[in-house]
Amino acid sequence: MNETDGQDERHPVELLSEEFSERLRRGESPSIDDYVQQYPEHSALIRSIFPSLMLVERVSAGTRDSSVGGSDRSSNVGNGRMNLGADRSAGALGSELSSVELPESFGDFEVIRRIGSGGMGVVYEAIQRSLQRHVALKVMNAIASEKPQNKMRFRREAESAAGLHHTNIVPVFGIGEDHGLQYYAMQLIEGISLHEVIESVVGMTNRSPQKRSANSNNGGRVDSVSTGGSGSPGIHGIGLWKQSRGRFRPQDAAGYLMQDTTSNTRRLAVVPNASSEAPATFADRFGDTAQVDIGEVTSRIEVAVQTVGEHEAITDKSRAAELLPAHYYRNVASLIANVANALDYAHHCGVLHRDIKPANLLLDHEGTVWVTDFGLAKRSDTEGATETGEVLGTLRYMAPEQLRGGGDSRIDIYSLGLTLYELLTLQGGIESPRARLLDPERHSVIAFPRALTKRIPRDLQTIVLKACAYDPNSRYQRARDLESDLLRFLEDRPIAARRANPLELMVRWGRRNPAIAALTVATFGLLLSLAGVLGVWNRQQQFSLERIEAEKTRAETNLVQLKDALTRVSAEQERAESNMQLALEAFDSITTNIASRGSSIGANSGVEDEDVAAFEDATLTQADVELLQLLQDFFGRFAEENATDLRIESAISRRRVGEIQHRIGKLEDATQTLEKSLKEFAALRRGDSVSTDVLLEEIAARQELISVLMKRGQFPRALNFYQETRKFIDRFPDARDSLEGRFAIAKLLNSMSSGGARLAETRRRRVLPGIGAVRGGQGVGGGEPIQPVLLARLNREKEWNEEAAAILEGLIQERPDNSAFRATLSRVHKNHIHIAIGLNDIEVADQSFQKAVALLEVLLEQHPESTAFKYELADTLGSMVAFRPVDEERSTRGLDICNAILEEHPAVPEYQALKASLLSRLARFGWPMNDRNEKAVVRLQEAATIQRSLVERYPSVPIYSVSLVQTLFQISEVYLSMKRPEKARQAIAEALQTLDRLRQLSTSQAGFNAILDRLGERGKALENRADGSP
Amino acid sequence: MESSEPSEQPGHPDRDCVLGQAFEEYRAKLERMIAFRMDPAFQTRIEPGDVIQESYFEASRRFSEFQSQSNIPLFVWIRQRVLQTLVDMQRAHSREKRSVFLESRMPEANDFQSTSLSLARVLMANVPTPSQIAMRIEEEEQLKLSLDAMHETDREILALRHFEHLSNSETAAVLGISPTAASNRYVRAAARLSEILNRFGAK
Repeated sequence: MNETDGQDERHPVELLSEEFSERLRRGESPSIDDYVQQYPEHSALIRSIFPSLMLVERVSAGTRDSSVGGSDRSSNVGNGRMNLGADRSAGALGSELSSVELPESFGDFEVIRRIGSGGMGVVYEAIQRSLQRHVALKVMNAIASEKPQNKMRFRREAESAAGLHHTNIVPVFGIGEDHGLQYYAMQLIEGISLHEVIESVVGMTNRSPQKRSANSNNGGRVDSVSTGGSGSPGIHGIGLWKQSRGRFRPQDAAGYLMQDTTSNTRRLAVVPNASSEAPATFADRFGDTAQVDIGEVTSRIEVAVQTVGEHEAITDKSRAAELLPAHYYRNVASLIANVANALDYAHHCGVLHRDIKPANLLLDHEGTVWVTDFGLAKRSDTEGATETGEVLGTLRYMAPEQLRGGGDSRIDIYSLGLTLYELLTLQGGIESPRARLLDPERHSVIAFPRALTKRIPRDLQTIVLKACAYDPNSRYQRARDLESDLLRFLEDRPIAARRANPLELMVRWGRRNPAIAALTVATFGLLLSLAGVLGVWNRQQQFSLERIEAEKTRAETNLVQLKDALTRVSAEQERAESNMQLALEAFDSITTNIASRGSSIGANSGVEDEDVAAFEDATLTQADVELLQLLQDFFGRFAEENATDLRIESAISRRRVGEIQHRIGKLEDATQTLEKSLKEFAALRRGDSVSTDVLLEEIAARQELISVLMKRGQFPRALNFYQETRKFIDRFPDARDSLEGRFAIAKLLNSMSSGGARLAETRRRRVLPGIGAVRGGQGVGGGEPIQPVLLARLNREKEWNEEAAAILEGLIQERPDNSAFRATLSRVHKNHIHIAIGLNDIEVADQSFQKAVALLEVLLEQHPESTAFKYELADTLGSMVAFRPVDEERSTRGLDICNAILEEHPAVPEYQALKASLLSRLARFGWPMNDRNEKAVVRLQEAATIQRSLVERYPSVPIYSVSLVQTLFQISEVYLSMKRPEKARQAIAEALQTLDRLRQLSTSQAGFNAILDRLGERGKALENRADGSP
Repeated sequence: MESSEPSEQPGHPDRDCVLGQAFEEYRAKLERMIAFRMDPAFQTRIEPGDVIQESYFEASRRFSEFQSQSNIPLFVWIRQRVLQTLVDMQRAHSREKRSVFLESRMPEANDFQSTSLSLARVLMANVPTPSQIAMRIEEEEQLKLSLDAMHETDREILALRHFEHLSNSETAAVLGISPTAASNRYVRAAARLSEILNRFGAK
């Protein structure tokens, strides 16, 4: 503690003060007395100084919160996860019952203690006197008992459950009525509900080392409670566990799920009835090993936790999910397979469970899972007995059709799928259960489990998605089908839910046939890589086939199997080749499509707020994002699997992953991925002399990283890296001077110069009143001084942009027919318009505008059918209104072109959005003059109509909602100038409403705070005005 | 303690690399300083990120100055640049739009560096809940008055340690004194503050 700082002596009290302050900052509350006692020689100073330090640090912390801490408003959004459902309401009922005086016995049963509550009653542990066995006694709530409807349901429940006999269904012993209360007795299961198990798995990641050592003393050890002669393995009717210290606890169950059970016996992994082994107790099988295993798992998690963050307590479920061992997934799959088997049996008996959820599945100390509480079950043949529209069970796990009061046996499959989801991800699949009642369609779609953690096996994801399909017809039709797929997964066979990807098939094949795989391990590696890139690497294919041939002759004993393997492998090769090709094509078309959409709408829709920077590429629909995530998986896996053999492909694939992450807004992930890809490229360079092709790929990766860094606002880093990249390119003069190299440099410059231009304009406009619309009548050049920071930045961007333009002009001269060069140059010029406007240089803006238009005209002459170029031209024409308010004729030409595009493609949302954007831009310069107000209103209303329909179609795509908000704001301005505040207020109200809805729906991180603030201000101003005016 | 300078010596050819790394490394501290020193009137108009970016360019341009003053640690020099940029930006803003300040007094440029004014502003800033307001205001008012009554260097040393979270050696470097002197001075300043606080408290 008393270490000195280097060679300099420091005052001991200063050192103590430093420690004291740091502890305060960490949120601890250190005791002054402790310090006084520990350092009596400084007691006077400590007593005098430390209270003041507490005061100072308190004030200082207040500063930090108010000035540095981000926006609270956005962090509250989307956090409304409700804990709702039967558990809670049952608890309420339970307390009602416990307040009623409870008889000591019911018929033959003597009540010992209360265990819990569920469904419509409370569960007690009881002893059946006649048979001297412990049972679980479910007693119906006294109040609920009075309603005949409930009485009937209770009996029905008991009857239906009593008719079921299955290894995984809790047996019901009898039904009765005593003291006016209904009850039924069932086998007492010494088990932990999966709900508790999940909580415990999450909790495990929080255990500190001290606690762990205490726990591991009896961790995993369970007193043997087996009666030995019970005959049926896995059933223990007599639970002595409640008094014993070594009782089976949730953490034991959780630890159990993390063990490698397959190495002992495949007990969990097989259908229960098929087990021919002698019954063994949990302690027998796992007694000692379990201690080690659980300890190991826990320490593994703790190590991981420490590496994740030293001071941070990991409570986050998704982080916990990242730490699960691979065995966990297999164990979970086999558990759910057993439940599916039980459900299939029940369905065959005509009984639906109707309330499958983790809380109703018990795991006992033998690893057997029990379905309990057929509390809401109804017999299929007495359908009429339950009133229609009755919504029972837990909303969170209900199938959509069940919410509407209908459904058949497939509702149990859906609920079981959601249960599996929760076991895999440790979080619920349905975000807002209550909202499901209003709109089941929207709120019943679950996220991809693998989007939460990549550790989840892909096949399990596929199984979950199929089980939870919205449409019952798309689900597994029978519980047995779900079970079979889970068993296939456990046996490393391809699942039926869809055809597995060829690469996976091969990996699986290797796992299933270890003998052959070991024999041909080198070959196999090559084959694997081949599967991906056959078309490209013919030579390598040749080589590997030769090696297979060699292996074949050598492996005489295994010849037959090997041949078989080879035929399979070569069949897979073909499929893999086409698969890879398809994926590449899909990826390219998607990314180019998205790139053009994002840039033009985001840039010019009149949306000029810093909030927008967060979603400028956000024209993605949910389907786009899902598709991209799939592709991201594909490329990510490709990169991993081929990291040693196909290093170039691997690096490029990784770059693609980064590009995808960029597009779907995961900027931090994108940065990491791209950096990793660049490391791979660097390693390639070290290997052999670099080919220009590879170099260009690397530059593309660098450019992508720069764009991402700019978007994240890490300008110094981006600039550094840009400069480093320029130096790097200079090291390879041949590549640098090639056409492609120069083109790459131009694109590099463009990403440096376009990042800030829009932002600059934004900041500048922030000075102006209003939401950022340039007031048409004044345009720019109103003598508004430019902030010095912006001036410097815009000048830098101007330089970069001019350099890019010069390079591209040179390229076009050499290759006049290359449309990519021209298209890029037109974008550079368009970008320059914004920069020049920012610099108040109307002349340059005008020139850039002319140049951009001219380039696009040429391109359109060469490619008269190209919608993309038409789109660009219309958009560019529209951008002129920002600085030249008079030339309406040319601006309406943009509108004409847009209309022509829409005639061909009426339903494409991007084109509609462009039209709306052009309309509102046109309206902007019309409105200040009185006679044009009406015209402006007409245009704005037309724009708003288009935008409203877009919002309705794509409620979760932020840019559409934000554009509508912008238009509405404009409308309010026009109405204000027309002295119609009522109309203006209406528009503001709608804008606020639109934004509110978006905030609820959007998964984007954008806070919308700036827009909201402005809308709020305007709204208030309008209120005041309305109050003031008669 | 945590004031590890980037290992590259001044004179390293790749100054942007050194600077860029240093800026990223110190970013949190610099943002804290900006938040503490900035006039609240500019808070909606000047982004801390902008200040950092702009000072990065300044620093990059004037890096040779740093190299010639070999005795100044890089962090101290960067902090100076950022502070200067903040002052310049506020000055430019106040010239550009006087109307913003119609309701308040025009601050003198030097004010921005004055710790007591910054503290006063901090103290006027948010207080958590209404029920705590009365107590907190009194508490903060006390602190403000006490700090005002202190010697300027004492006040500065407390601000650097407790509001900018600088370490002892960083504080020493900023003030241009030895770490030992800074350490002793800090204890003296803290004791003095307690004394004054007690006096106000007794009143």
